[in-house]
Amino acid sequence: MKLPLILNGDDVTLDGDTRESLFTVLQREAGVFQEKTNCRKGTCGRCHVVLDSKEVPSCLVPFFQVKQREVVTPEGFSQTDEYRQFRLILDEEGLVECAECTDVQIFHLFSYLELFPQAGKEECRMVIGEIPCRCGSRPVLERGAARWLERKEAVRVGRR
Amino acid sequence: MSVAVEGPPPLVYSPRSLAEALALFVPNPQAQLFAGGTAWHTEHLTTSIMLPPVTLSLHLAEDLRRITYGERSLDLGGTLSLNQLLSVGGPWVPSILKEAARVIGTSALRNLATLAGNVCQKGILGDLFPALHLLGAQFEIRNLRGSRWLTTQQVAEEGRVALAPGEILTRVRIPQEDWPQTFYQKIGNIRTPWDERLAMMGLARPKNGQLEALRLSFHLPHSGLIRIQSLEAELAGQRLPLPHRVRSQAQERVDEALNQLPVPASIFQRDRVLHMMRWILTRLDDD
Repeated sequence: MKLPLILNGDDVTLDGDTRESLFTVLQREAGVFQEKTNCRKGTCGRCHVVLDSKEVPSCLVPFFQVKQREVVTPEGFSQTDEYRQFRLILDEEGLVECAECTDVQIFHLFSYLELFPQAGKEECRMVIGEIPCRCGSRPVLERGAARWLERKEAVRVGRR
Repeated sequence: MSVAVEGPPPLVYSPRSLAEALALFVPNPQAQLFAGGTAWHTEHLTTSIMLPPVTLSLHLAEDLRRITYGERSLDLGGTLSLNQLLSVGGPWVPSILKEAARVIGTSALRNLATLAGNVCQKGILGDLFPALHLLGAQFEIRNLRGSRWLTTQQVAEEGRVALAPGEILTRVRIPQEDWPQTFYQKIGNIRTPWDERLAMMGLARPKNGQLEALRLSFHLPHSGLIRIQSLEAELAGQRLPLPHRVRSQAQERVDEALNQLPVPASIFQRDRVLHMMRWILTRLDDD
């Protein structure tokens, strides 16, 4: 079964089976998530993608559901200006790269803040805690999230 | 490149509306519904997605995601995702329902998980269902011939939302009532073993120094929903703050109810339930 979709801004056609997950097809057909194994429960965060502006675990999304929809992977997101701006804030807050979680956390946190721009400190803490890792970067991510939201709010108010 | 999954692929339909979905049941009476799929996958954990032989995927049916604001009630579409529910601004969605939704899974899972999917999974009936039960919600079930409404009381008695072949849970109707005080606590999360989870919640309406109405429920995975309506009725009308004697008697009633469960609560669950009960009854002082 060949399905057309938009992957990281490009029109592509991927070949997969009805029973395959988006994760499996992306890994095999598009070469993304090459070095990743995931929990297949949708809880580890390693296979998350943004599907039509919403972050989802790609291991739980059946491939047939992505026909003509837009998929952004963490790799695709890392090429955007918004990623660079968000990353800059996190670096200024002292983010130390963790091979296990940094990319996943940034993608996860950014996607959440896009969906819930009114998120409070407690909510951000909860969302960051959803990605299991012991690297100790959570306080940095919390500070970065607060600064990012302040900046977005300032832009919003400035536009009025 | 070869595809890893073997055997004939299942027949999958993706209807664009409720009417189309119901019509598809005529040639495919054995078809099974697939909404967010989050509970389905965790139950059928393999490298591929284990779909039923004939699957109706509801992800394109926009009319099943509608929110309708009425004067007396709020109607939530069955395939509304939990994050869509959380995104509804203002006082429309009762805060207790939002609190219950917010602690389900992770935010990415909540973009997939649906309201009806959560309610229809027996194993996770402790998530949204106890809150909906307290709120007096009703479920609309539709098939090609018409619709029927299920009360949360009926669901609690049966232990699950039992859908007959050809039926879809289309809407959840929540009556608009004012509950100034809400209490919610869930113990355990997605990584906690299922039978160690526990949910406790309450709704209260204090007015003019009196407790006008109170609803309380506990959900233990093995025993299901525990709601002592006779106790709620006794506490309604009491002056606030509740005297120590009344609070102690209420505690004893809950303790008795826990003793009568067919599957006994663990020491931890019992302790938490009683602690939560004590906490709620004390907080009712805040008019």
